[in-house]
Amino acid sequence: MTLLTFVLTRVLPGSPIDEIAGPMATSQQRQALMRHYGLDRPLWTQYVAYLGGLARGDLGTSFVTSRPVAADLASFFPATMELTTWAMLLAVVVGVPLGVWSAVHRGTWIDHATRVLAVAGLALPVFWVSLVLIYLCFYVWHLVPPPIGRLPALVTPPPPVTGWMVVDSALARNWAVLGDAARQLILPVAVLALAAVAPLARVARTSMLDVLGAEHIRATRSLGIPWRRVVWTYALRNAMLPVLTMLAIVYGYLLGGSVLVETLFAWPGMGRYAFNAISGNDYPAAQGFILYATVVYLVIFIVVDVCSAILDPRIRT
Amino acid sequence: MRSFGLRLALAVVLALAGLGGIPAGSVGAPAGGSDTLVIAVSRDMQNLDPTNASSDSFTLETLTNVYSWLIDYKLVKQPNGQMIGDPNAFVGNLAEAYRFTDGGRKLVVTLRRGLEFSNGDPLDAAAVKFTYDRLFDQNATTAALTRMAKITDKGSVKVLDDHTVEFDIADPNTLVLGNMSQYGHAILNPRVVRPHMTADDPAAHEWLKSNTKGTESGPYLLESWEPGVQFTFARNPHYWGPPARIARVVFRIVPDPSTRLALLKSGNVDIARDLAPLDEVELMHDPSVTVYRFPTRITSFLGMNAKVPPFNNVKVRQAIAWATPYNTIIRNVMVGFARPLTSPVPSGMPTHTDQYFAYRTDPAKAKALLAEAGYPNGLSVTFTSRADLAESKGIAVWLRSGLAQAGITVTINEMQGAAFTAALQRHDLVFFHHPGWNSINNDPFYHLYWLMQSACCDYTNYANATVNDLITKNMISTDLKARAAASRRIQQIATEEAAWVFLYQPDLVLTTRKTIGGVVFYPADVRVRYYYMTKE
Repeated sequence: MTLLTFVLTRVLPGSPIDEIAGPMATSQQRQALMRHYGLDRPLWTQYVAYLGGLARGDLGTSFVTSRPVAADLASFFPATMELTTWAMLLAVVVGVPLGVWSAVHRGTWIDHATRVLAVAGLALPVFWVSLVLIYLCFYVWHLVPPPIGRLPALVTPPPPVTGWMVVDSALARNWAVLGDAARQLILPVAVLALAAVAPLARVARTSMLDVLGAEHIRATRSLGIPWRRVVWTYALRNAMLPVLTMLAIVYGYLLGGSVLVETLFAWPGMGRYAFNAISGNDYPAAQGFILYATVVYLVIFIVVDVCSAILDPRIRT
Repeated sequence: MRSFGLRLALAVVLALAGLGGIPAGSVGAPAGGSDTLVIAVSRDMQNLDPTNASSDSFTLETLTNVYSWLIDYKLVKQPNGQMIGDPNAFVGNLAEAYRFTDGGRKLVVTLRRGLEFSNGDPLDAAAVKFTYDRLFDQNATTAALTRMAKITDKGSVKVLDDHTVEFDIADPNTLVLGNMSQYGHAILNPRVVRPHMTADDPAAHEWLKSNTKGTESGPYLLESWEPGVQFTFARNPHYWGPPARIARVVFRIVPDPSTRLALLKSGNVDIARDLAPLDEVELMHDPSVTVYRFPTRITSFLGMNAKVPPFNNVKVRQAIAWATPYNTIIRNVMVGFARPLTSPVPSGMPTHTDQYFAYRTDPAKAKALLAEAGYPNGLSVTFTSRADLAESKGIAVWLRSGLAQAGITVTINEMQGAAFTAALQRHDLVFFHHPGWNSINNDPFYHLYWLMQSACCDYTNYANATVNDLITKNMISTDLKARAAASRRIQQIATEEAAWVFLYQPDLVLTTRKTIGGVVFYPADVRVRYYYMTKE
């Protein structure tokens, strides 16, 4: 994986030195910079040095931000994590009941309305939804604060503990900043949640329909147990497995950072960091991001596997 | 189930109501008090080492506002009342006075008394000497430019006393003052920078890349920098001149131009930078916004590689110059925020003339030239534009339809920014748009040297023996009459030979709220100075 990333970032056309050196630099000065950044050494030597750094937890130094990549990731990751997690929570709270509800009321107007919502969530481009919501909610109606990032420009951030603005300002008991941070989250969270509700609701509906048609549910029902209890206690637990997998896929995808949402809301997250790293040929930053994304995916799927095992005793064997 | 549905609906409504429940005062409020400016910028700064900086605009703007140098451009009032920094008139900055002696072979600079760096350390002749020693030891871009003006090495910079420094100039020339009036010559604090100099990094490049603390000498100091989020200037209490009127300048990184536009229109920022040209036109009708337009000397042209067929044929280059839809491009792509470029030496630079520019859009004439060049049935060419630059993409589209009328079929090849820059610097591009070159030194030979002779930047491989000879002979000279004649001759040859397709000189457009005043334009480096700005 690291080898693949290492080679891929380096075969892209262009060189980070072009960005660093400026147009008037002579070839000697370019050479000097190549030496300074260790780019003049053979590729395999650079790779060995990179691996050696990795073993010590050193991901190298970004050419663009001039900071250690690990420090960059540590500051950009919580921004994406906070945005994505709130969006996923909202999507689960809205999407799963919506899917269950439309499965239970299959074929009624509720079912159709849910399906329209799900299709809209999938079909409407997220940048378009963002622009429309920014225009209406911020510019026309003044319902939300300006889309200027995690905090208003003149607000001092709370001392970083978790990197989550909402949590850190609560820990610092700074309620004004907590309010500011929460308000900045409203619109980007809503946009991301809208995109995530659609797949969750669809999977929840399909899976619930399967389970409700199963014999044991019909048997449970014939025993005279109230329908609501059948749905929410017996069926839901069985229907959750595919939903959990979909949740992991969507969450992992969003944790990679949404370049469009982060760009439109000036959100300093992973998506923009990765985009800048790749377009600026910032090798260490691009490698660091891919490594990060891989680890995030692994962790999420391990967590999902554990949760699946808890929900379904058959998996444990 | 009905009750569940109702409960869910109620929960959603309550949640939405809660989301919308924002105190009215917190939205659409003005950006900070009257002593704070909030600016929405498109990107972050990068490498802040003054003598080896990255060339992106916000890095250079920061260097220009937090550092000072010995000599600077003189402020003058234009007939329309606009203040500008005259690119051809100089005054002392950290220098109280300066004078050329020995027939222009020495420049003696006397420092102001009591100068201090932002941490209170004295800024004296020793600091100047330290700065120039480091500059020559590092041997990066600023060193090369300084050598070009014939201040050749460390030995050329001598401390006469605590307040006086003498520069030896090997050959008297007109480049010295223009070269010294820029960020590369920022005087650095030896007590702060020296501890960061190591055997591996003798120029303390790593530290200076992302730090300025304690070594600032300009009207502002860099108070904080949160990469990817914002950076902030604060008034430098140790600045030698009257204090800046705005106490803090907050640069917020807002990557999307439509978001920056919304922030400016709603008054959430005082200035929005790099808006889409069409939006800037629309803002001219907004009573709460001022759109400043300043003519620049930035040269934007189409490059045709003179070493690669068919562009090695002068007649083909001329045919393209006759077929290019100049006015359409200025009107549609630049929406009028540009003026025609009519010579390799831009308007506003001494000795510029448009008397040799005969080209206009004439497909018949272009066809005739193509036939003479041996292409009676037309020609197919590939045009390279930058995928990340709207301006470049727009030009490609209009160029294709314009050239088609002259029987030239254009295939558009879009290249990503980094790949484009790499190919440009290898001089590998064949037919392309150069988005703009600005020569800080307002000197025609300095400008012509870089774009038509230097190893780095003669991107089109243009070579003409007479032009080369004239550049070499007049580069270092104080004979203004001979230089003017030579510059006109070069302009004649390069225009007639269609060295490039001369497109336009874009305007610098700055969009601010009406409350912002004191905007001063510096045509030499096109950098914004916040020192003079005011806010009602």
